[in-house]
Amino acid sequence: MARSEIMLQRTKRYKKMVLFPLIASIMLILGPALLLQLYLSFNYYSIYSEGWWASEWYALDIFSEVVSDERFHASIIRSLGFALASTVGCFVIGFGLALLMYKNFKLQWFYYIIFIIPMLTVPIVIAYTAEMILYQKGPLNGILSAIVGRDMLIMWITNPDIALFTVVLMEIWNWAPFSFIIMMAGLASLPQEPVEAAQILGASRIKIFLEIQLPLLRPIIVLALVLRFLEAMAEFPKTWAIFQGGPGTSTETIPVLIYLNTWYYFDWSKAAAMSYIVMLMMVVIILTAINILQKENKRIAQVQAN
Amino acid sequence: MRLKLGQLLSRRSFMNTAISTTALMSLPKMATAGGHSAVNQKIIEAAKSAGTADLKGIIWALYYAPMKASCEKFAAETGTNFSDIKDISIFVAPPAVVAEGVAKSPEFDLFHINSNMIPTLASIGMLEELDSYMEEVGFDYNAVGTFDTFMKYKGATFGMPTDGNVHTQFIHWATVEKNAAAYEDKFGKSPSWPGTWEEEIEWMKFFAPPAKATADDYYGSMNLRNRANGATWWFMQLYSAGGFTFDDDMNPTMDTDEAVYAWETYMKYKDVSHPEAPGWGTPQMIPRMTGGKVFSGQYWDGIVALNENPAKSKTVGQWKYGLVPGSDFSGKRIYRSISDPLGALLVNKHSPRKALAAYLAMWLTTEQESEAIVADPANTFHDPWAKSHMTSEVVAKTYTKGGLEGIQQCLQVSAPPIYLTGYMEFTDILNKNLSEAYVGSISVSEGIKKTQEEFAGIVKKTGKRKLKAELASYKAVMPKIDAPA
Repeated sequence: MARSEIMLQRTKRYKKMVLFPLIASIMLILGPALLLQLYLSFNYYSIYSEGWWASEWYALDIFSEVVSDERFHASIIRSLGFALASTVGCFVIGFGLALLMYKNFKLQWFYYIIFIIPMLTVPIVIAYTAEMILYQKGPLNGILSAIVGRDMLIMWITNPDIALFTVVLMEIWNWAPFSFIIMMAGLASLPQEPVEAAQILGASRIKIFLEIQLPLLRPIIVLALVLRFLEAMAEFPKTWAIFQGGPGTSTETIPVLIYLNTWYYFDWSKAAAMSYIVMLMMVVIILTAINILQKENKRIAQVQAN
Repeated sequence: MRLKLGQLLSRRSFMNTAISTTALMSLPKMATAGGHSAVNQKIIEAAKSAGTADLKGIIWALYYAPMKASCEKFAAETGTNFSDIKDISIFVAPPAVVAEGVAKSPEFDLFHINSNMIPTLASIGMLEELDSYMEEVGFDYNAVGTFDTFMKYKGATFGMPTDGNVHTQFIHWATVEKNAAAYEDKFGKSPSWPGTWEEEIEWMKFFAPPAKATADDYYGSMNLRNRANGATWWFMQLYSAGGFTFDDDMNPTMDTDEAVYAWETYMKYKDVSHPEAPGWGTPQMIPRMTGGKVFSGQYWDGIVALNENPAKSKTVGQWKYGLVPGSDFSGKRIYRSISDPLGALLVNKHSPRKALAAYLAMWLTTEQESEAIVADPANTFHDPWAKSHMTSEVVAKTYTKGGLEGIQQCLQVSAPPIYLTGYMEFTDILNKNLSEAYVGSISVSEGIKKTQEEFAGIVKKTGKRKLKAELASYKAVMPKIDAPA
């Protein structure tokens, strides 16, 4: 056997060894839960019955009930809107900060700490702090009033047209550091040679950024966006702590609706079916993202090979 | 030889005997060994004979704090401790308790939870019936009015109340006094007390005019209109109009004249409420009360103690408490208040220590022990509910005499929101639709239609036959009188 083949086999074996604990824990911990959830999605279970084994076969009825539920549709739209807006917001701010920070300067460590503090803050603390700041006569409106020179009486928490946007703002404050860290790492890992060559050729900073750094960063950008989007789809603590889905149903996102169905309505079969549909939706999003990432990697490999 | 009465019994000895007898009779029940009342002594003896254990419970620390001393007393007398608690808020306890129930877990012995969850939890089969324990020691709640029925489901007793938590009328009387003459000029009578919802709105508009509210930062209504709580006020309005939530066949009655009246009345308060009310819960409203920024409303009675606590309130002595408004909609004046969430101790049927848990729950609810728990000046989370609390000087020190009078009146006409399996779902659906209509996302008629349809869906899902069988328990909890005595 050729040396290269032996190395390849060893690498494969090593990969399996590393991945085994992860796959095993998923199978052992998540597996039974997912199977039971699947069972409950097809069998109507009431908490008042003898046990989950006594549930009644409903075939696809529970799924069709969920799929035709207007409240579920609305929650999907809200969640997607929220996730998109907050992901873009987090990314723009995180990337902006990373661009300001990635070259060494005095007291860089201090700013670094300041910028990552929001990510280390417990979401519930963010929610309650934000609630105090966001009253109609609270500090935020006070600052805005001082800036624009007239009374700003925005009802951040009680206006159903604004409430979800308020959660987006909290999410951006909370998670922009995540994009910041990823983009800092991305910028730091960029090869310096193309940049230096462009500088020697007299390219402007903007041109270097747009034509060299940004294309090289694309896989990292996709990764940052995907990870943040997935996290944002699952945002619950801040939304629930301040709004509980209200005012009206303006902040009733997917996690809120699933929580209500599970722990307020005790409709575990419906919640299980909802969760499965959302999981499938997320799998599609992840596969698309992986596909994009792979294409990006191939493209970069090709560029480097050329 | 015949003896005269005076020779047998001198006037002095007669007077001494009479005074001693009177003094003994005035003691709370019969004091026995260890200074305990008879029933408390019996509880101790029963607990001792059941062995000892370290009991475990789900209870919010804010509720547990004033119970601690009493639990320690019980431990000293019986050897049974209750210090191992899972500390979660009463508002988030239901999921945790239901999870324990579904798993038939023996881990926890006691749950301190909203008693309106009793039908749901009993339906899961996780609650221990307490009647036999009560009979064994001769325990009686001695609750105000029919408040003890809040602990019953299908004729059996499942809980020990620790908290009356009844909505009481609060009026910032300092404002009334300041403007009494102007009121008399306008209405030709002195302001006594708002008897109906309509009258209360009139009072709010007069004493805290909406046009001036923003400038003065002083609003008429303190009633909550957020997604989590709004329905509480709607239920008071529905019941006082003579309405009920279901007919005898368990069909929802959310579109009856009484229900429509409740919706309309609920919405009328918008004129006199803070613009941010749709997002406000107690953390926002309580500081407005203690800060004197709001005029009137129905609120949980624990806030009486807070309003009258000089260390925490700027409005000590400025409030009057009394009966909540009623309604003449049915052709006669009916008053209805609400007790929700109503803190009660429930015993886990699957616990091997359930007897000891039942004795401890009763111990904490006895007149002797509950007085100090209710009267705790700092942790005012257990509000008066027993007859003895209403006459207690210790409790009056925390709640004031006037406060206790108001609480007692409201307890006599207090109802639950919906006392059925599925209480949380019914309430959330109503909260959702009320909130949507209040903020203008849907019309009132759409809200009514949606509630009717969604309630019907819950009934179908939970089981019409099952809920019909529970209807008698729900109706039994409803007050039997239109107005308090």
